[in-house]
Amino acid sequence: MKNYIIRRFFQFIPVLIGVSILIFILMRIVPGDVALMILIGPEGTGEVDPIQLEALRDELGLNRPLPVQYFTWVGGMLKGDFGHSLRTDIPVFDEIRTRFPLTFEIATLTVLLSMSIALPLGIIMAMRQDTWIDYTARIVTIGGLAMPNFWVATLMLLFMVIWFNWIPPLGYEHIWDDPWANFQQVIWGALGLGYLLAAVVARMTRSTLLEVLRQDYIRTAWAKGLRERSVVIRHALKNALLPVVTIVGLQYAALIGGTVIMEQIWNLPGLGQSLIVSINSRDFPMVQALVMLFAIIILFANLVVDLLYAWLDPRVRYG
Amino acid sequence: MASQPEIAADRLRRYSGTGLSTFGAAIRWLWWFTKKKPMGAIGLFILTFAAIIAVFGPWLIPHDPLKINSKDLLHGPQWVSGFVLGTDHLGRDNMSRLMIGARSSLSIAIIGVSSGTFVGFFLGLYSGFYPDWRDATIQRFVDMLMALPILVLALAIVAMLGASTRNVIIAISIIQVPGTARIVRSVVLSVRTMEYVQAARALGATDTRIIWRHVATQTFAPVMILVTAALGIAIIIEASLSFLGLGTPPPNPAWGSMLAGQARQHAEDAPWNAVFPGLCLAITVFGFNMLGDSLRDVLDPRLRT
Repeated sequence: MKNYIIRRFFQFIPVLIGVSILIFILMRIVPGDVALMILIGPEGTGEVDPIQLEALRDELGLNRPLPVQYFTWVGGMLKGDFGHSLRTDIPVFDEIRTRFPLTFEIATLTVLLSMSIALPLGIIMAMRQDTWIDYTARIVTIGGLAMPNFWVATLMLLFMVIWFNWIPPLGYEHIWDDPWANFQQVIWGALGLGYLLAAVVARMTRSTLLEVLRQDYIRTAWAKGLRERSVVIRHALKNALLPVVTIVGLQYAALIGGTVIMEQIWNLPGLGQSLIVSINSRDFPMVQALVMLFAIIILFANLVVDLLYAWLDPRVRYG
Repeated sequence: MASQPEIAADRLRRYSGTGLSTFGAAIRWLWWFTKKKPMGAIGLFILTFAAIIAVFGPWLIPHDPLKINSKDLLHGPQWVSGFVLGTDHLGRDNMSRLMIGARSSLSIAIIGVSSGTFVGFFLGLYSGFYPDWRDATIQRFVDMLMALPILVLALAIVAMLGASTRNVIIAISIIQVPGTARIVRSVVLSVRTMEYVQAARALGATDTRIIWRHVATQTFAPVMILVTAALGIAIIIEASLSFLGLGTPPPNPAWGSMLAGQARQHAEDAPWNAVFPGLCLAITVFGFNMLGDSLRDVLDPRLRT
């Protein structure tokens, strides 16, 4: 296991470097001049003065050779200097530090909520295949896959306002200041996101569990006269959950994208909202740093999933 | 007993080789597919309906989607008034806007996904066929693309390029590349060592001919399944982008932007504005999901994930 962790960690570094190069290139090969875009403004009405343009390009370091730009950026990041926001002029790192806990809270709450619903639901669906429970749950989960999460959120808002005449407390409360108000604000975003995640996980659990339940060793377990609970939970579930772990890891990318939308809808000052604001104000260093941060989080989640997988399934680490 | 995909492939072959016209063969196959996978057929029906609206929309709309009717602001859905699905905060007819929105939504998804699939297909083919440094390079590149969160990547691209239809298409196609490359590569890896490929080589076929004639044709089923699923995802991404104000610029209608801003401000007095565009999105995506799932079951159950 120790060898596997070390090996896997050394594969992690080159991919991380590659991703940073990729983000760097993506931000630059796109047709259009960032400096020009900033000057023109979002409405495309701004005056463009060639001298000013040149000055801005200098300030952003866009006139230097690409490799120099790249190493300045990465070198800065390694020293903890992510650059300064063009909009507010505060260091990007500070902005990230104040906003990260909220996004992390939403993401964690989403995972916890959806797992606690999806796993039992998936197990019940598989155990009672082709009964009305299975059919109802399948329709509900298909709905979760088809409905865009911002529409789910809009509908939740709609029902709360029309039926209960209630809206979440306005003005964001930090979790340490007022946990209950904070919970009321964050839970809706987590629910909206959790529906999709729970749908994916429940369907995955159902199909893998069904596959496992048809295997020989399960028939042996039945033949021994074990109770259903023991067959499913102790014997089948252990093997069925392996692919589910992978899926949850892969869904992390979708989750991060989802928090961006949820923070926008429920007006929560997290990283996602910051990303949208930065994009709209063409805050180029901020966008670059945030995309990099999101990529790091996802890579890290994948690493954790791989390690977890190796721990659960010894064949992986000796293979 | 022959497996499901073998039967499906066999049907396709038999129906297309029996002197029936291609049209007749297609109809027969469709009938068989409907009986086998009714949910898939429902998906296909929804999509056909959506496609008809998208293609003929401009001739079918009851009102001008951009015309502002100051007398009919937030008009409720009503059959007699002619505003079947109500009007928005500017008095524009929702139904007409939804129909034109279908056009942009579907075309952006189709163009984006097909161009991205095309690039991924190339990468996957050559990556799988030459498992040397070329494969390693392409695969590391794919790894990196996969590490980026889809929506954030799309947001970043559109942010840098500016909000426009073309840029949404570029974003969607870039997202599509790594998945396609992965799947195509895995098929190519398993096919390239098969006897018939070696036979072709023994007959003196060039690499290019083998790749395109004998290997590429084997990837048809997985790619088709992938494309169907990807179209559903692309529609959600397009809607998310226009919801955030980074898609099709106003006043042109798009499903995502119809749900943003005013639809939520007026949620209390005009809930229909927040319901119908989402319903259109959900039904279309549902159609793609159903069709994709059934195609996968029929053509290639190994791809079940």
